[in-house]
Amino acid sequence: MENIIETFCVTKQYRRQKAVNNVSISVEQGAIYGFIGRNGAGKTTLLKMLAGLSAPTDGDIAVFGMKGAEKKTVMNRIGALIENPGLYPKMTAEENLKVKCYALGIRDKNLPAELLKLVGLSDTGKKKAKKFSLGMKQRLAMAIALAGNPDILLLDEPTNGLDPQGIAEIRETILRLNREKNITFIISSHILDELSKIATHYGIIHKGELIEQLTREELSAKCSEHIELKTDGNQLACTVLDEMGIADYTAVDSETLHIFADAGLCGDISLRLAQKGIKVKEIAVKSEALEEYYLKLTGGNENA
Amino acid sequence: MRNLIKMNFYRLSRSMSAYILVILTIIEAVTAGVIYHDNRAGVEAMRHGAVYDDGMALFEFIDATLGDDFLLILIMIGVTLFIGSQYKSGFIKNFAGSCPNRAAIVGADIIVSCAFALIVMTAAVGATCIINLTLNREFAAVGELSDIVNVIVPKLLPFLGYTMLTVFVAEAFRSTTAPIITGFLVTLLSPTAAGLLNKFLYGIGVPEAFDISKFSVIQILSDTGMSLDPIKTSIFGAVYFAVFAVITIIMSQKRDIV
Repeated sequence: MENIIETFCVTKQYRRQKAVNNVSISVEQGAIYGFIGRNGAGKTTLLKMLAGLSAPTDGDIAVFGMKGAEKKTVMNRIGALIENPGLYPKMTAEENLKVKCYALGIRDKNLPAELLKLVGLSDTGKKKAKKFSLGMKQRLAMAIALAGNPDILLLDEPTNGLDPQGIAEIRETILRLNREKNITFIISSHILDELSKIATHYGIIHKGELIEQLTREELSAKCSEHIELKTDGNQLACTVLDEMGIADYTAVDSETLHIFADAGLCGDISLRLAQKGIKVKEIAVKSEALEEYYLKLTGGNENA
Repeated sequence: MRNLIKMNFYRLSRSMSAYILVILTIIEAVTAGVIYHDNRAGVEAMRHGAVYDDGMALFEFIDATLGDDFLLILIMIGVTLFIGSQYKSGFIKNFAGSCPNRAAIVGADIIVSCAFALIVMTAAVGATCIINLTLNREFAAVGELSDIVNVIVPKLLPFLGYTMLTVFVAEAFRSTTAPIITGFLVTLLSPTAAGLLNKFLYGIGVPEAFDISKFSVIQILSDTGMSLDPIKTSIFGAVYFAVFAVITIIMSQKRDIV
């Protein structure tokens, strides 16, 4: 697959603070690339640079293989929804779309109606954007980003503040556009569970630095299955595990252990613990979620 | 840039505040005409050097309208709201990245802001003509067309220079409230500031014949049009416009859109 966006050691510095530090990513065509990171990790700053809204302090960005002045000729193939939906509140959905169409020189008068239909807003009529719900605003902003038929869509926290219904609608829209129009998405989010449902690639960013870049398959391999064991005390359980020759385990809390071993050992472990008089509260085979992997990688258990 | 200009004209056509400001301009001109009609003796008593014995000439009404700070403030508010709203709403983020040149965005803002200023100016002149030719026809002399041209032409480019100054302030702040307050202060306090600066300059030995207010576009616009040299003021307005346009474009290219 061809890389349609690449960054080369990109840095963005505000006075002494490096918001993005030496980040190199590559995004394949047709991918749904999820940017994971806590608030203030540098996700939005990086997206702004990719969208051409701000310039890197150092490093370079290639879009469709083009850099520098050449890149400007292909920037109209990128649609962006950065931070809050940028809408004129006193205009209707159609008028907002018309403004973008004028800016891009799009003469197709049916396009605003088509885009509104695509995002499920065709029945908003003369309702002003300021009266829209947050979900409707997000979908309208996505329709605006889609004007001009972009090949790449940059979405910054597109599900922020939405109710479950709104989140599901945005998710479905992204998947449909990716499937039907082969649009490449770069999505930043700190709602990891939501991102894990759609992303094909991940970039984990922490304190402005890219910690890891991996595909969904690579993540699945890394988030391997493990046995979760809950007993009335880790200390005795650990002794038993050591006696069994199982060394790869971690303590989650005083009663819970994660054992990275063959799931088939569950029975043996239970039996040995019972023989030693250790009460097994729970034993189950579980696989690590994206959130756990992220927390392990960034070394913190605060919310992503 | 043509697309961006079209976009801006579309935005302007959908802007309620632009219509309100034009209506306020017309109301101001009509009110001035009505005041003259109702209190002619009082207004005449305040006039110096009347051109026509039997009342004010139409060009004098136009001159008074164009020299009113209220007109400048309306233009300043309109331009600031127009430019500031694209940053305040965040809509600029939807298309700025796609534009090959950031200067084109500012260029389109300048062109449409100037068009708005000319619309306000035309509305003011038009309303002044209509109200005085109807309500004050019996005692207002129409005068020569050349007189009317002579009061409008010297102010045309200074007006656009002032508009450019407000574009600069709006682009610098990228919001609506702060540039409107700044614009108010610059417009209303300009004569006071010039007076204080003159006092300071005379204090450090600058000859008293020198008057810094002659270099203020706001002062020129407040002066009587007949007293102005159209070539000098046009050159001054053009230079003012060009300087602020260049500064604004350079500033916009250096700054990120946040």
